[in-house]
This record gives sequence, structure tokens and C-alpha cells, in this order.
Amino acid sequence: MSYREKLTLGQFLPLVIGCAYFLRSLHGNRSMLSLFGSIVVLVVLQIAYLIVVSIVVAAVSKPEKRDERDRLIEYKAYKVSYLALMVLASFWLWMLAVAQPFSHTTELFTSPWLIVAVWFGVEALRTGTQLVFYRVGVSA
Amino acid sequence: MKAKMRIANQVRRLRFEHGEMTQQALAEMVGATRQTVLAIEAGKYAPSLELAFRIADAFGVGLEEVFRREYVDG
Repeated sequence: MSYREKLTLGQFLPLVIGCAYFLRSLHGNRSMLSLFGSIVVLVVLQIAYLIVVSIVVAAVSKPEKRDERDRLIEYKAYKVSYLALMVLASFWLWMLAVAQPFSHTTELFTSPWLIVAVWFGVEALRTGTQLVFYRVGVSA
Repeated sequence: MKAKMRIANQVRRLRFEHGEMTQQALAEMVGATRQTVLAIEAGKYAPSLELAFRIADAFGVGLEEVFRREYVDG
């Protein structure tokens, strides 16, 4: 496993945890203050975690600069996550329009917790796609 | 029906002909990572023209001696 692959794997895990946490919180406490608090705590924890991951990965693998293949993999992963975000956004708009008469569904689909969960999910998809491309290879 | 083009390469052979040069050494010479050299050798990645020229220059040969196009039916 290359240096870049290890770093990407390190980024992937907290994003999955973040997505799962916000999805799980959808049915719990939904106040804006607790949402803001959760985001701040998670972002601070993520930064600390990523610093530790960078130090550990640099200690076990020789740091390498990004080259054209790394950039191509990043570009393709961004395309996949953008497509997923567009599909989710279309589905979300459709659900809002269709589910409008059912207040409990509307409440769920307008929850800011869901938006944050989707953001974490799309980022997890992006890094996950990068990991897949690192394994199976990529062509322009 | 248009035949599919595949880029074949002689990077592995040329490395061994140049004093058993390691993938890491070649990667450093051409400004790429070892993983990229490995992927090129395995035919899993077709490099950009710039990197292809750099690889050819590293071996002191022409581009066509390193990379060759092959046509596969279907």
C-alpha cells in the first residue's frame, strides 16, 4: 500500500464514522445548537486524528509527492462523488415535492442533520472511490 | 468495427537492461511515484505524453522503443 493510499484510508474512516453519527442522530436530538456543537467537536477531532495519521503514515512509509496518476484518481473520485450528490439532491427535491402532504416525512427530509450526514457521506464516497481506483487502476 | 487500441510497453525490460534499475529509481528520475511506474509496467495505467517522454529520456531511447500501440479486435 502506497503512502497516498494509506493517507486516503486514514481520511476515509472518520468520514464514515461522521456520516453514521449524523444519520443515527436524525431520530434523536435535533436542535440547531446540538448540531452546531456536534459539527465543531467532530471537525476538531478529525483535524487531530488526521494530524496523528499523517505523522504515523510518514513514519511507516516514505512520503511521496502527488504525481499525475494521483491527480487523475482524485479527479475521477470527485466526478463520482459529484454525480452521487446530484442524484441525491434530485431525489431529495423529488421527495420534498411528493412527501409534502406527510408532515413527518417532510420533517425528516428538511432536517439539517440529514444535510450534514449527506455531506459526510459524499466525502466518504469520494475517498472510498479513490481507494478503489488505487487498487484496480485507472485510465484517462 | 473499430479495433480497440492498447498501449504496450517495454519498461520492465528496459529497466533490467539498464543495470537492473529499480522502480523507485526510475520513478525518481521521471518525477513520478513508484506506484505509477508499477501501474505502467502492469499495463494498468497509460501515462501522459510528458511522462512517456520522460521515461524514454531516462532510458536514452525513442518513445516508440518504450511504448507501442497494439490493436485488439472488439
